[in-house]
Amino acid sequence: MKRVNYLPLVLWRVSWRFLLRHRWQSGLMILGIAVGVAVVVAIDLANESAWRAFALSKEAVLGKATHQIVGSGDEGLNETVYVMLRRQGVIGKMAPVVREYVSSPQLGNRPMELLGIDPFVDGEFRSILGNTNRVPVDQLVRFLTQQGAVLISDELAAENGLDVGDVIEVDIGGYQKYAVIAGLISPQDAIWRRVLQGMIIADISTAQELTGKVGRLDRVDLIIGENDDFLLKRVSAALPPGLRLIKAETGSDTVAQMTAAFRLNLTALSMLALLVGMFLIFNTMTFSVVRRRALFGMLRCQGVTQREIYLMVLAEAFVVGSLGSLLGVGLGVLLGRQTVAMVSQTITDLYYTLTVQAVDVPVESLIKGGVMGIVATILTALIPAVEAASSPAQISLARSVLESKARRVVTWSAAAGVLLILAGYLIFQLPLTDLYSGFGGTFAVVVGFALLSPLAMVIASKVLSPLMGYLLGLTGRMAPRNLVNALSRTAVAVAALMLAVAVAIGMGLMIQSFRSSVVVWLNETLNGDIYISAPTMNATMPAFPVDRRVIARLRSVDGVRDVYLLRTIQVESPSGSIRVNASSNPNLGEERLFLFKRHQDSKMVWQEMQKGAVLVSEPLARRLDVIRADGEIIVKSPNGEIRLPVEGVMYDYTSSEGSIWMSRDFYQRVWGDDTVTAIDIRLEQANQADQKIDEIRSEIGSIQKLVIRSNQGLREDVLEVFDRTFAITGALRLLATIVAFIGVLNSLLLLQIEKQRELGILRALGLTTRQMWRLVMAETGLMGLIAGLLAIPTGAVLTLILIYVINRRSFGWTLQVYMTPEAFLVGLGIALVAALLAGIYPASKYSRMAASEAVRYE
Amino acid sequence: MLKDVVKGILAIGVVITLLLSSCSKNDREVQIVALPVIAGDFERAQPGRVFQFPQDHGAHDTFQSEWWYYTGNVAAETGEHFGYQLTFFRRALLPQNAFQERQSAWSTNQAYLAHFALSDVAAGKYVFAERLQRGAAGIAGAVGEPAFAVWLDHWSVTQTGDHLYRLDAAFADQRIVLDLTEQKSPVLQGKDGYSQKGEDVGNASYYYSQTRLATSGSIYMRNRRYDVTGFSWMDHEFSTSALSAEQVGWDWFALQLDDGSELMVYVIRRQDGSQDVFSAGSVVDPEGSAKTLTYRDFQIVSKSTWHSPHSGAVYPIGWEISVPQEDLSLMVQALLADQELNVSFVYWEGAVRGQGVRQGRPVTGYGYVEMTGYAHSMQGQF
Repeated sequence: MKRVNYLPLVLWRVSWRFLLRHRWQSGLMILGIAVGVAVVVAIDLANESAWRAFALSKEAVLGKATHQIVGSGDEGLNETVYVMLRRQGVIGKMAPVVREYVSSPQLGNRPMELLGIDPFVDGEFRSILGNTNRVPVDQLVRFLTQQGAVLISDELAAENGLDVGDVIEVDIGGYQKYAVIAGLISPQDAIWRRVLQGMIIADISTAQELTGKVGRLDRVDLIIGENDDFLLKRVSAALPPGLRLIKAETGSDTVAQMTAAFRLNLTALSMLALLVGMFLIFNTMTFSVVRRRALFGMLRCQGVTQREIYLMVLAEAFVVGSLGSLLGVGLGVLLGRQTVAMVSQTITDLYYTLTVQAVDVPVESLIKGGVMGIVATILTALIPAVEAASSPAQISLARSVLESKARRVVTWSAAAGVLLILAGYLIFQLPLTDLYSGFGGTFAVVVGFALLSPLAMVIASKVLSPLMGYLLGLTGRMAPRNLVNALSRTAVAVAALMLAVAVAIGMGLMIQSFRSSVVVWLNETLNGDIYISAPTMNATMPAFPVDRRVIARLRSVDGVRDVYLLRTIQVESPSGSIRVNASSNPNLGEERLFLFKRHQDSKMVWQEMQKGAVLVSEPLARRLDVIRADGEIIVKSPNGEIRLPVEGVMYDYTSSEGSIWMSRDFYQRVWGDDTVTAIDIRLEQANQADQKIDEIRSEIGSIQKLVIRSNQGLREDVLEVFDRTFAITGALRLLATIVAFIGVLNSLLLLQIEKQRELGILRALGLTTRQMWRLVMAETGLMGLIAGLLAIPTGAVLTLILIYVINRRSFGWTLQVYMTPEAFLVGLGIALVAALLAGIYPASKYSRMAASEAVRYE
Repeated sequence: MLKDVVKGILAIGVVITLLLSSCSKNDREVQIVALPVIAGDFERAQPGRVFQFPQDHGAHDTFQSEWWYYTGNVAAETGEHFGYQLTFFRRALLPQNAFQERQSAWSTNQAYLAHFALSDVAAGKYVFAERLQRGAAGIAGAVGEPAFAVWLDHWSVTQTGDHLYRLDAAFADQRIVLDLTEQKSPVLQGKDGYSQKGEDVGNASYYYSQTRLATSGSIYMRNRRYDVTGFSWMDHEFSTSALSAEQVGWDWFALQLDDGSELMVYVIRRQDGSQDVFSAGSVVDPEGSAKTLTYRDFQIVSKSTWHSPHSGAVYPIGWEISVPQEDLSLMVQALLADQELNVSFVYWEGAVRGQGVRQGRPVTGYGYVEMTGYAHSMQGQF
């Protein structure tokens, strides 16, 4: 054997000429890969950026802290604890922190973090004000001494047209405060420059005054050596009850866990676009190989080895894959601008407040996307490459041989499809709860259905042939036969289109089911007429207290029947932080949708709750496995760990983290905290809500600027967030459909180009332009129809998988399935329209072509 | 009083390096453009103040700078000799009348700095540490009533009874817990505590010393406890003044002699190498009455030097001090050469031993010497 480890130049040229001569196909193939890669890159960018922005700012703000002293929930601690620790010299490296989310109209009204630090000790932790140089004293005197003095970065100031000495309004939980820019910081450190885009720095005294936390700290940062157990114990021992010493990175871990499912879902969705793209590549590569069987045969006669032909095809795939991936990465970056904003918004809506948006593009995302595109292309090209290499060393081999082979494959493909679907089903039956196996099963089922397409086409052709013949005459009978005769290409195109449509149907129905479930839940749960809370930029921000005077005034408003108070707070538990809703509403037992309830009588439920029993939201109950009569939730209270019996488990879609509801009386008894973060008002006459809102607003407006919403208003806000959350899903779905459309267009083009000669003969035999159009459109329409029909069961199965497996495993929610015929009809419509649109170009091209010209081809 | 200049400058240095934790000499990491400071008035020292104790032991926030300065020489029964320094500096960031009272307990216009150093003569070891805090929220501060206390974090001096004070400070695994008993009434330096340091009348400080504080207690180091006895010296000074352009540094000496007397002298060194005319000192007799010395009344001659490997500065570490009118001549020698504090400000502050003759009789004693402006000029630090 010759020592040929590389591809001879001549073969490269053969490939190159082929790709060049078939610019259209090559172009579409590249475009298909590009869109697939672009989607993967865009999602990865969004995931990475949102995550990195958070991690970086978290890291920067934590600085060198290894541990933190925090309260039992998110209520912070008394500042005297810090002073006591300092005076006792328990630990040398300590820094107090006061922080709050704020917004300022002069700073673009977006969420910003107000970070209160003690510059006297903060240098050991953070380099906000630099730690390696001398800062002239006069620059910090005003920062330390003047009321409301804050520092912002020079960039932030410049962006907002602000300068030293300017006064800015700072909105904090419904209170309007004023701050004066006492200085501008220009950090050389790139991360801090970024972090400071979303941050206002104040001295701890100023931060306390602005946030109304005089006398309190949110946390104390500590530096404790890695193995200094002695010091750890000393600090723990010195803490008063109710305070906790935690590792500094815990927060970031929780967030990583919290968003992992969300990010994985997005990634899986982006992979789908690539998967559809792979069908397209497979289709095109197979076609190009089939077309060149004669050429390959000739080359083999001239001594080219099988291995060289194999490599040649793979090399083509590599070139096409590289070009497509390169283009895709570029497109992905452009697309990323949108996705980053969308994903950041969703993360802010659902998980945590992002004050920083990463602006740079993580190179890893680009490399990852590019490599995936190339690898996917080469993998997909493996079968065609083997096919090409197996070309016998003789000139010409009728394609009919291949087609007859393809028809044999129909059976095998269908069998493999059934097996894959079964495999997927079995995976779901396994007692697994992880998402990876969930997605694995989903892909198996989806690909399984795709493998059924050849069989579906054969059957559909048989069944539809008489009908088509009846409707369209000769061309109608020809079309199904043509499709089946070219099964090697048509089936793949149909599979790709079917896949995209099925995903569109599945995702659509899942979202629809989700939304309907949320609406039902809202109807059941939102019983208040008016809801009042302090403004936060989003639901994930810690709730800000409602002024006590507001509550007193509300009770005196005419027409108010009941005022229920709610305190929402994060409380620590052995299994992580838990959101606690302490409510004074005694009707919780009937105003919720229950999955499980210990007592049916709602009075009994409240009685139990007064004694410490809690209602648990479904996602949390599932995670902690407490959906049973003896279920218990353990939380850390100021007096140590307490066990709370589970009185009921209820459907709840507010967060995937979940929450517990307890009676406010019980909460106050144990936590000694009478803060109110939200108010639920019941009116004597519900239809007076709007009028009462105006009254309440004028009554309490001077005390605190609160968000006052009617039942309807709150409901709309919830659904708005919901819709925003799924906006990106919709976008991805659309992109997958676009890839599929390109696939169909491509394969139809190929099909028609290939049949040019055949069509020329038909034209010569007297086929009219009209008939020509009809034939082409019948063929493509039929493909669309078959894809659309097959997409219906596939989409339905996918919906169920998404709801019962993926969603449940990702977020822990039970959704009621709402399948409407519209969704399936729309899917079918999309398939038909896509297919027909793809037929227009070839149909118009060939109907314009003179018969002689068409025949002359080749 | 010279010391006040020293400390004033130190305190300024402190605030200047407020946000400095490590001492790398990199380029600016952060630049801050900021509002100019509001102008206001600090109180200035005027002649004729009547001191009230213990109130005047506390802080005088209307003056710009203030310090409480404890040094001492103690020895264990087993013979180990230790020197210690515990100093608290207060510096007003703003004049009191330019500062608005605010809600938060953390709001303040006062910054505190403290230095703690321990000289382990037998082991030849010297350790030092610096702490900086705001004078607020109980983290750092000084009060005269009901009893005197000055503290910063867990470093403190507290009055525990009449003429009794407890001093407590720790750094890494060194700690001192010392009880100080005042054996002589505070000595008002200068003219009744008014210590002039420049041509202008207001360019002065209030300055008094507790020159003989009998000391006993424990020093913890090397995982051991040493029960020690000896004597300490305390200076308290407050002022609103600055070092003039020609004054580059100073050498300050305070010695407790075994004849029951104390000697304090300082020399302000001028740029041209000469001694400033405001150099001064005092002698306190065993009964506690003090006599002021002017620059003409004493002479200090450097006898040996030490080259600091840390800062590169060359410090005198042996001196001959003579006070002709007291017929006193002392050879003073540093107990350790390396007693240089390399903190936000570099200076030498160390335990010394004196040996000599007074009126024909041999006299010995221990004390402390402070030398500034050797590593870099004190100028430009304002």
